Amino acid sequence: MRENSSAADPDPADREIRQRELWRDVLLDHFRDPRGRTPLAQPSCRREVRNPLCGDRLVLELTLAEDRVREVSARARGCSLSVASASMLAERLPGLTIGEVRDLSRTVQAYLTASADPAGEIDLGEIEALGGVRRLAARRPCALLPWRCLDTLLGEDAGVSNEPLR
Amino acid sequence: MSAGISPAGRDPRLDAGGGLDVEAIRRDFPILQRRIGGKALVYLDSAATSQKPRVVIDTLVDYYERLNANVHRGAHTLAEEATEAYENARATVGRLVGVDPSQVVWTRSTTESLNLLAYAWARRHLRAGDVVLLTEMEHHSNIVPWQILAREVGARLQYVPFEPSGQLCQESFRTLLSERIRIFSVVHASNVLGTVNPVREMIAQVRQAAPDALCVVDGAQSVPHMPVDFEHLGCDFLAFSGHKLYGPMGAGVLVGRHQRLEEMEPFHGGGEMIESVSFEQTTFAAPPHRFEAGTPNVAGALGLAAAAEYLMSLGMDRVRRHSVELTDYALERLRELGGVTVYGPFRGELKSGLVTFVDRDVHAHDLAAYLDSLGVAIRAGHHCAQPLHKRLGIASSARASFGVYNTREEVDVLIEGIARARKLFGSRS
Ligand SMILES: Cc1ncc(COP(=O)(O)O)c(C=O)c1O
Repeated sequence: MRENSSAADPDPADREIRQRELWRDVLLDHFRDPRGRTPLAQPSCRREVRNPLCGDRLVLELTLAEDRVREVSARARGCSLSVASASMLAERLPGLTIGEVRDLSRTVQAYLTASADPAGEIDLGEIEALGGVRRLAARRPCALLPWRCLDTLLGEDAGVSNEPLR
Repeated sequence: MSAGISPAGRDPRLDAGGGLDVEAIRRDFPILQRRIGGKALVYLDSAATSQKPRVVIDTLVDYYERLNANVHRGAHTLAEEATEAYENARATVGRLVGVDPSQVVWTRSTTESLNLLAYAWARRHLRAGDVVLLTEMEHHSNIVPWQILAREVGARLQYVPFEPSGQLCQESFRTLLSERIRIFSVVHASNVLGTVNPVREMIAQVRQAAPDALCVVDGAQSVPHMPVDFEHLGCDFLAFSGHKLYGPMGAGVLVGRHQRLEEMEPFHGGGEMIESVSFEQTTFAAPPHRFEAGTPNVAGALGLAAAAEYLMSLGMDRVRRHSVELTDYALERLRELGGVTVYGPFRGELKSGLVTFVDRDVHAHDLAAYLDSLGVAIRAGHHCAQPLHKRLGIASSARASFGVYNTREEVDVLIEGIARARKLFGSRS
């Protein structure tokens, strides 16, 4: 094994594996440097959930104004998939209307559960990099967690809840 | 060359020094030829289920090709041969743990064995205010059936805690001893910590405090890896699973003390378990058949017996020694590697052939998925022991567990895989 290969430049065997398997560069980038980690000072709504399968946690906070998402904080503690998925969500949401967020979430979940192709009317962009879980049912809940959490958050009036996700 | 006695008269799978010749043993396990994504399979998940030697697979095929008939029914040649093979299998499996065939009840698994006890014994004998004593390192299958029942009758569950060393706290255990204990059910070897518990000593103490208490041992992780003698344990019942014992899935065992078996009501009603049936009432068959309603898994029983023979031909002392040595080696390599927290005792002698750990940098699920891409199969998650993980203060862990076919070189592949996983995931800020 090469001594001085940093994480940004893994050895060739690792790169091969990483490309073939779950971890595309975009995903690893979100995992190593997750966006939206800063807690919001005054969130309009907040929810904390746990992935019942592995105990991973996620705190999701939004500020909403005039029917649009303004700020997002999505702090996931867990595996690369849940952290990257939360980061992508946090990056993608600001500026979208609530309706657009709902459409996006539906499209993402259909894609991750392999019930739809990425070529829908909504461009998933970097989120497509989570597609490795389409073949791996056991890991899907990890990538889905932030989006399911988002649904429950939007499904209610803005408020604070800590109920476990089922 | 097939496994068996070599011309020199020595079994090629045994080495001269009282250990196992693992290379010879590996040839008995067809699945070990598989490649996963172009890499040789390194199977380190035997605590979840072991792989099966050729002789077990052949037994299943042979049964269906040559013997298949319903047992204990019909007076034709096949039915008689199948019945004889089935009852012989009971005797073989009994021999593995030192009991008479009449003490061996066939079940599907450890889980079913424990549920059988909860419903057939405890539902009749457990009363409001009674205590069911368990430990904090139980598998869900030794918690949930008792919880269901305790809620039904108003009994109380108590748990013996474990220490940071991964061993049950004997001091707390002694303070929990009381005459209220009606059931004491304990895991012989933990599927997460690996800890081999001093069940014989604990059972003796329970019996002093509560002479009538039912004492149950979950042997799912001990019977496959070490000599286990039912009488020596001093328990009333011992449960284990065939599939963790190099046998087929769907065949398990509940071994019981005669008197306890006698006082126990049936579990399921149906064929096979009756002596006579009228429209009004039924006289139940004697144990063990009383607990085996319906057409049994005959092929599974035969396969399990073949696995037991396979293990006995290796010798459980040798099996144990191999397991201890490999565990010590893995613990040593993990210590060298650093950056991991290892749970449970840090000595192979105190464990049942597994290492459970959490990496400082790499989440257990990422580690397992990454290792899989290298052909290495380990388990990640809570291993059906959520209360235990809660006690450890972690959500999940990674576990590598060993069988008779594993080698030091495979442990090396694991360790190198962990090091490589860190390069991929480890630079998180
Ligand atoms: C200690 C222990 N008990 C019980 C069980 C349950 O075994 P089975 O799933 O074969 O019923 C297991 C298996 O994971 C185990 O490790």
